[in-house]
Amino acid sequence: MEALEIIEKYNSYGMITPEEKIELGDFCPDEESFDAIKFLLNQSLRMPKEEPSKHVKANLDHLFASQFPVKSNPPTYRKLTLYATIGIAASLGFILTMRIFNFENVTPKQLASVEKQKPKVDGEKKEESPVTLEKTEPKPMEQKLPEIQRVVMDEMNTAMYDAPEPTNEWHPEEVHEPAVVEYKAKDLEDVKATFKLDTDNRSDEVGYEVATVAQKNNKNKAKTLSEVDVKSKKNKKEESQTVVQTDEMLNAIFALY
Amino acid sequence: MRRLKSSFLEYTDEALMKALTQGEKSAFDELYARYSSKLFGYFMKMLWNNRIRSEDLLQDLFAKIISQPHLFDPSRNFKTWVYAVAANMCKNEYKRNEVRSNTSNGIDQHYSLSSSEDVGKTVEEKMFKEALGHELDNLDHKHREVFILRHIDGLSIKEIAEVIEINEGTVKSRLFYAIKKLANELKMFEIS
Repeated sequence: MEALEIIEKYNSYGMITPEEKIELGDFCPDEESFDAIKFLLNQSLRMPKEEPSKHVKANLDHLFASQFPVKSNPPTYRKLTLYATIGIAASLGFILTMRIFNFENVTPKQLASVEKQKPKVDGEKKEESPVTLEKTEPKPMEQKLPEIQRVVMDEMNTAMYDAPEPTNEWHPEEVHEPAVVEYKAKDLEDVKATFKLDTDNRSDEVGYEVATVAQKNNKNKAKTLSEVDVKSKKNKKEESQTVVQTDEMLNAIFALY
Repeated sequence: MRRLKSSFLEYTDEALMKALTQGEKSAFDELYARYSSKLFGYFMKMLWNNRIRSEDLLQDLFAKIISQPHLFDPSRNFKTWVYAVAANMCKNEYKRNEVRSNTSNGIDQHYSLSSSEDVGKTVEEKMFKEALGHELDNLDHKHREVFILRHIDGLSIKEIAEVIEINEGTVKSRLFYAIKKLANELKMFEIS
C-alpha cells in the first residue's frame, strides 16, 4: 500500500522522492496521473454525506420500545426528577404543618411546660377510669337500695289508693288488673329512681353503662318486691272483700229482723 | 440528561452495543448517530443511489441490531462487523436483482434527483459527483466496494479485509485497479 500512501502524503508530484517514484511504478508513472488520482481521492472524501429519512429512526425507536418495554420507558433522569419532586413536596408539607400548628412560635420554655403537662394529663385519665369503675361497683348501689324500696313502696301505696272500689261481686281479673298497672308504674318509677340515683354519681359513659346494669339489678329486685307486695295486696283485698261480704250479710240479717 | 448523553458519547462502539443489549435506549441513539449516515451513504453508492431501497436496508440492519444484538461478537470490532453485515446485505440485493443492467434506467433518475438537491454547490463539484457516481456504477461490485469503503467511508485496508473477509493483498490490488480506472475516467475534471 505504499503507492497510495505516497500519493496521500504529497500534494504535488515534484515533491516525491526518486525512490518513491520507483515505488509508484506503473500505477502513477507521471504528474498527470498523479494529479488525477490526487483529485479523485480528495473529492471522494469530500463527497456529501447523505442522511436517511426521519421515519427510519421513528420506526426503529418504535421497534426498540417494543423490544425493551420496561427499560426504555422510564429514563434515569425522569426517575431522579420524580424523587426530587417527592422530596420537595414532602418538605413543603412539613413546613405547612409546622405553620398550621404554630410550632415555630413555641419557645423552648413553652415546649418544656407542655412536655411536663402531658404526662399529668395522661395520669389523670388513667386515674379517672378506675375511679368510675369503683363508683359503679355494686356496693354503693346496695347502699341506695333501701331508698329505692321506699320509693317503690310509696308508689305501691298510691296505686293501692287509686285502685277501684271493691264490689260485692268477685272478679279475679279486676283484682289482677291493678296489680299489673302497679307493676308497670312501679317499673317506670324504678327506672326513674335508679336514673335519679345514678345521675348523682355518674360522671362519664362508663358510669352510665354500669348504672344501666345496676338499674337492671334494681328492676329485678323491685320486681320481686312488687310480686310479694301484689300477693300481700291480693290477700288484703280478699280479706277486705270477705269483711265487706260478712258486713252485708249481717246487715241483710238485721234487716230481716 | 445532557450529562448522560455526553457519557455515551465517550463510549466505544462495543460498549454501546453492550449497553444496548441491556435495553439502554440512549446507547442505541448514539450508535445510530454514529453510523446511520455512513451506512446510508454506503448503501446509496452500492445500490446505484436507490434511496428507498437504501433506507429499507438501513432500517433492516438496525432492526437486526435491536432484535438480535447477540449476533454481534463482543470480541470483534463493531465497525467492521456492521459494515460486513451491510456488505452482505448488498450482495444479497445484487443476487435478488441479478442483472445490474435492469436497474440502469433508474440510475439516471436518481442522479437527476440528487443533483437537484445539491443547490448551492458549484457546478464543477456537482458534475464531478455525478461523474464519480456514474463511474462507480460502471465499476464491478468488488472494485466499487473496496473503493467506497476505503475512500468514502474511511476504513483501513485491514478493516476492509475483515469486512469482505479477504486478505489485505487482495484489497490493495482491487483498490489499485479501481483508483486507476476512476482516475482515467475523471481526468477531465481535474484538468478543467
